[in-house]
Amino acid sequence: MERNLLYRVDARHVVSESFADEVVAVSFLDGSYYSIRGVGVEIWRLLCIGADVDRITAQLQRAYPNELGLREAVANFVQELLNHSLITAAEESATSTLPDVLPDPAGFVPPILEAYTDMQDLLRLDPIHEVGEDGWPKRVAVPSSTDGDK
Amino acid sequence: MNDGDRFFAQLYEAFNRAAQGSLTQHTLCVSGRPVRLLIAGEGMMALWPALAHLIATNDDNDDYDYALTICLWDSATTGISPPPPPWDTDQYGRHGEIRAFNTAALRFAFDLGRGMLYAWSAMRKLALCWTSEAHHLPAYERGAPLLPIWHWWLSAMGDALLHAAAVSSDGSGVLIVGRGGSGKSTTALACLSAGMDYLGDDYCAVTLGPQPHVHSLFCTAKLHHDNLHRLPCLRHTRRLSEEEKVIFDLRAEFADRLARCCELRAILVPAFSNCARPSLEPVSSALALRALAPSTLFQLAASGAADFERIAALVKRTPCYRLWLGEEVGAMSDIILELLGATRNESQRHHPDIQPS
Repeated sequence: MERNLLYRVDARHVVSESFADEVVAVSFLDGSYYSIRGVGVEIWRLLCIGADVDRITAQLQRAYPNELGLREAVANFVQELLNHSLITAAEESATSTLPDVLPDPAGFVPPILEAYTDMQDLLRLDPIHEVGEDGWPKRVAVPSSTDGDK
Repeated sequence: MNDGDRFFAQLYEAFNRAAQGSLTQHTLCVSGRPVRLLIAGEGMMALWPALAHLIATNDDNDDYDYALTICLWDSATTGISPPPPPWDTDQYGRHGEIRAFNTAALRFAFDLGRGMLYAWSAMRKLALCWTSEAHHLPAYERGAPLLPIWHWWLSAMGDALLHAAAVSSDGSGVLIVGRGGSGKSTTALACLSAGMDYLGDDYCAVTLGPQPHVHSLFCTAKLHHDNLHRLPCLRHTRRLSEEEKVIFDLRAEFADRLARCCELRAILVPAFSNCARPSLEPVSSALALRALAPSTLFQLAASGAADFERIAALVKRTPCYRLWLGEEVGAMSDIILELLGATRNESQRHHPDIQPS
């Protein structure tokens, strides 16, 4: 991440909802879902608009003037989001004005990304094994998708 | 007419030919709306028991303005097959949705596990479902039939099909949400056993008006064989299947406790604990969203952002609790009834003019 690229939530396959202290993001790409907390909630809000690392850092620095190492924290978090394909990077200039970041009264909490992969089986691609003479796929034995319900 | 409309029309023609032999008609009330079920031949009657509690009234009454008509047939008992699909095999998506034949108003899916074709047209208020041999349908389709159709139809009206159990008392109820194995069925059946009303153990419909309501879809319940001893009251309950899990048909034994609808008062996220007695603990809406949205959305054909937003809106406006499951299954209804009583009192404080019905 040497260049200051513009990052944006990948709305093609990621949906999210913001709460006061957490963002829940769901990826239809691979069936993962995520809990984003700490200052990650604010970073995510800026990434929904589209922002580069420098501008995100500047907004956070205004909210947390005494916090050191903010740029590195932002860059690492953005890289983590990229690794999970939650955001995209583009070589374009940011045009939108970013909203102010309000400091958390409880103090600065580094960005946290918690990934959950326990639902990925539900998005398993059903392979078309065989097509009958009538053109329709032949039924295959697939266990109930909610298998395990007690 | 585009390819999708043309194929849908051809499917409907095939159903009408199938219906010339024998046709069974039922009128259901689903999420408060009249739905007509047309079954050609005998095979697809296998799907009827799970829906039978929703029957509206006299089958001969044709005066309804049906919100949806669902036509079911199989080739084995009608001798009629649909035309071959107009799409290539690379068009099948993760849940069998046909990528090139899917719009918000016209949807197709072929579920490989069920061996079932589902088609739905919003404009025609019509759904068509076909399988080759209905007696080969897996038990989970007989226990919770036509999920893609309910999902597409409810979603188009701004409502939601949710992967959740639901129980109620005096018209107020809770959703019990979480992935398979989290305890939804056990909790719902424990509450039913204790005298509470039952709306479902796996899937429910939710309408999202000013006061969200939960609607029953299926009068079935399923349990693993090794969990049966915890609910001895189900010993004599009719069973639709004993294969992968036991699937119960609750109509005969619990007819008076199968509720069709209730006001949603709380969302419960079950989790196992080492304690003997179950307990409740308030949790964030975000936690409930994590428990409900992925397990719902990842199981349904052609689900997307609008469905997620609806679920998010629901959890944001509904009190959410962790339901710590204890060994005392019988005590689960006690704490849920206590919670419902508290929410009713709270509601009365805020709306003193509204009397409970």
